[in-house]
Amino acid sequence: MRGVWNGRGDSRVSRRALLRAGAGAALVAGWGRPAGAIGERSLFRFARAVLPGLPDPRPTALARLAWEVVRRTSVQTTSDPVQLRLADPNLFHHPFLVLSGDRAFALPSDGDIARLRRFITYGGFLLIDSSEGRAGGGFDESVRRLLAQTLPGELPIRIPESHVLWKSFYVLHGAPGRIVAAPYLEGVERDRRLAVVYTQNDLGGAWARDGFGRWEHEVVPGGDDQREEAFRLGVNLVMYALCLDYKTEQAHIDYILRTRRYPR
Amino acid sequence: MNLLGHLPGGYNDWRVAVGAASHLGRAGVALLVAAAAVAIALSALSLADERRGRGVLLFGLRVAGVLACLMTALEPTVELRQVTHVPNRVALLVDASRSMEVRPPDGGPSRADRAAALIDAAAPELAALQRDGHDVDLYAFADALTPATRESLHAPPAGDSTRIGEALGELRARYAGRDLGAVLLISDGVDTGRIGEGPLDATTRATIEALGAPIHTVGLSEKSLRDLSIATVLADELAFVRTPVTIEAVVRQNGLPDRQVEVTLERDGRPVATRGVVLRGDKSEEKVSFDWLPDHPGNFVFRISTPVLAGEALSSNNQQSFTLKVIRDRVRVLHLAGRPSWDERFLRAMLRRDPNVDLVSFFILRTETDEQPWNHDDLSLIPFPTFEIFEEQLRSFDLVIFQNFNYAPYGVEPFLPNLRDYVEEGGALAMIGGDLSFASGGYGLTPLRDILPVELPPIAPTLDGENDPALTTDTFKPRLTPEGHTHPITSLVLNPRENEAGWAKLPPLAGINRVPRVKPGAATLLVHPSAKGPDGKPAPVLAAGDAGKGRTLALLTDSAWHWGFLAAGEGDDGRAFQRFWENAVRWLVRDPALTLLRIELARQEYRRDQPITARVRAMHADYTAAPGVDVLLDVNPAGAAAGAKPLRSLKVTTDSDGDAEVDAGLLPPGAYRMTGHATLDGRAVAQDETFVVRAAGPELDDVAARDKVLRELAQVSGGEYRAEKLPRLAVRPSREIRVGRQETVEVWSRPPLLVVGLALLLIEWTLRRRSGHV
Repeated sequence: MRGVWNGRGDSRVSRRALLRAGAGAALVAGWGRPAGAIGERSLFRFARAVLPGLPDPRPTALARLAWEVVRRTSVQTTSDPVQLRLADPNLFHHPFLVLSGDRAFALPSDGDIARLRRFITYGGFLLIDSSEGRAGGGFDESVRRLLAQTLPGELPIRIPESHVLWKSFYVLHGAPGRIVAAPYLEGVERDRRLAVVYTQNDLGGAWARDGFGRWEHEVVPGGDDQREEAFRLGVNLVMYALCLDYKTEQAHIDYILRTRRYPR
Repeated sequence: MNLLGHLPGGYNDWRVAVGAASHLGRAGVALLVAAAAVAIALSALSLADERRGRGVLLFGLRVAGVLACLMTALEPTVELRQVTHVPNRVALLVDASRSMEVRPPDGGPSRADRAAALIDAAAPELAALQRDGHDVDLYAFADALTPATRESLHAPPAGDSTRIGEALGELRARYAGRDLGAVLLISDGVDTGRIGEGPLDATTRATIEALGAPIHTVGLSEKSLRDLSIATVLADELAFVRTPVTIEAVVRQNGLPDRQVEVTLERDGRPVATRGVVLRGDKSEEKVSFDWLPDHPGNFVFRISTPVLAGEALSSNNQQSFTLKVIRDRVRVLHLAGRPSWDERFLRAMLRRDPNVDLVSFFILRTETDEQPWNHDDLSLIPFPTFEIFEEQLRSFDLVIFQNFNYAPYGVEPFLPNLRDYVEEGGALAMIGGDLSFASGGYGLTPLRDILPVELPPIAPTLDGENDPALTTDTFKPRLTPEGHTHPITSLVLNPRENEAGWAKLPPLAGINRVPRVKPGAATLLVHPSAKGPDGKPAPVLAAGDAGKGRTLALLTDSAWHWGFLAAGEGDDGRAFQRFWENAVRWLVRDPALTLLRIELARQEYRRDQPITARVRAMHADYTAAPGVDVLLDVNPAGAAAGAKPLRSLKVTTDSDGDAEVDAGLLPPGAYRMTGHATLDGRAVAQDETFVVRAAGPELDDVAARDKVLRELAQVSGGEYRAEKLPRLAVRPSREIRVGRQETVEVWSRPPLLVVGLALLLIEWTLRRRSGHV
């Protein structure tokens, strides 16, 4: 299984790999039921924001990302994202919200915007993923209008290279998706926490995989390596949402643990 | 004048007086005597060449006659008197200060013993003095003069200073208007008052002169002295947790050259460090220093001591006690999570936001069974630092949080006994639920089962157990128990009714870890509304308890984050989660602000003569004053075992302001702990404070005897100095005589005397005429 898409040409046919494959198969086979946490409510689950006139451009993307998160990290997830309107009472059960689309869309109602604002203010995380295929299109315009209304006065800014998001799990050097429409990520910070991340590089396009196990879209220009990078960014986004600035602390801890000397 | 015999009539004294003195004055008397002398002299001259026999006869007659006439003229009288002598007093002053405890190196009697022996041996001489009419008064002196008896001199000396000059001043005041014949002063000469090492100051000289009596002194000393002492201790009274503290002491030695001694630092009765000190030369001082890093707050009692060597002059100065209060500046929290989750994320955000929290976190982001990239450097992960956390740095934390953390895969199991000890020694542990926690995490097989407030069955960890019977998945609203109504952890708002309403409004939780029951003695704060444990009691959701000196919390769900984010989604201010954890952290680390019973001692160090006073303050859980509360206070020596019978026990009741004053009386020097117990709002609370009683003053700083002052005292006052034995007690004679009866016998008024005188002169005159002299 591992060798299918790993572009490094590694074909480890060792016992370990077989065991891993077996375990992976078991996980896949058992997919769909809570993997041991106290109830489904304790699992990580993506929520996609349903806005009128904005269909899901990549319906299988989040499920695939959830599976990759389970495979690669200790986080436990359920596979299918939940589709929620902003007014849905269950919105706050899912602090990781994804807004994806490939076209312009209408601004939600004031009530919905207020609810979204509340969601973000009290700790929710919003990932905005454009599948439009280019920077600055209709989706982009709608997004910026939405953000201006939801978080007035807080324009999205480029996320600097030094931000902990680039090392919340993997060490990343770029933010490619299916394409590289813009070589950067934008975000909005609240109380020193990145609450909104906006990419125009169609991350979903890189993650999407059909029911037969085939990647739905070509990744350009980097091919499989770039797809791997896109998955790693997805994992980092989840890790960041769940651990916040944990990894900055880690660097300090390393230093402190190595050099600390208490007189006794 | 005393006669050897007795006079008639009961008189015991006589005196001759010259009556004519009253008429003629002294000049007149002198003139008469002169006239008589001239008359005798003339006779002698005129008889110079007379025949011997006749000359002598004539001269004798002249003399007799003149004398008889003179006697008559002078009118002599004899006064017979009955005289009582007011006893002239003798004062014996014996030094009763602590320097008199010194023993010679061979272990013989101490200076105080020798002084008492001298007084005992002098008993016959003193009795003789008393018979001679001198009253003997015995005193002990140290910082003041106090009357003493021979028996009382045998008690161990306890004076904190030696003030010879001041004692003499007091003596003068006592004997003002009375006659002091002599003073005997027995001392080692180590004066810590005005005189010091001498010479005598002007005030003392004036006192000696005013006393007007010889001061005989006896010096007590040893040929050589051996003493090792802790002369001074330099340490702060207050320190912060995790800030190093330096404690210094000065070790002084006399007569113990060329050896090494160990100086031991004890904390709360247990040795914690030793330092070797090399003693050089016959008399020296060495500084020794100890470093300590307090790892939790509290009141600590320290003692620095050296062993007592053979032949040491004093053993009581080989140690000193002091107290140190350690307080917390920030709360240091270790947050461990077995996997990232929303529960972990919201707790982390809350802890990061709190400026009083110093957070160290380790989350397991990846387990052994997870995919690894080909290139390990692509991961920004580090290995879980088990040893650093659980062995090296554990005691630097005030609180450890296990959030759905499984110990098994990370080699943590061997360190769990250390974690248990850490909690029992004053640390804190909170375990938060999930599939890796409590019974599902196999904690029932670890030492943590001893300290958690819930019982855990001894079953192995379930591995991704989908049908784990210890986990439930239902949504429910937890119920606040009666204990939970008043407990600081579950007080989201101060008003109890509002608090209950607040809890009822919170969003439901999802699922709990099942445990058999809450341990007896632990507090059950939240329970499941319907599920019951095997004992029939409602299944617990939140429990808290004490474990040794530490505290633990069991939050048996991983959905407490609903109280924040979900509540916000429902229009609430979402602060319940934050407030809950703030309360929990403060309770777990025993934040002093949460203490409902406070003891405020008047001082940290008392002198031996100062009573131990303190104020006790009691408060309700909402920090309002609690009047009418009975507080039981015990005072124990600081190193005493728990449960030992207290030295003092008192009971006070708080007034309308919630305060009460305490007076525990005087205590001998040493280090002590005062513990107060009370019941507030139905809960037992306790609080303790430590303090030290000092034997004040420099009395034992340098105990080598000095004779210089004693010699000078004797010399200036006309007394005698002797070493180690009593001098001859020369006593100034009594000045005072009181006259009782008296009778005057007039000699001159006897007529025969005049007749005889005249007759004699007549015979003489006749004989002279016969022999041709005129």
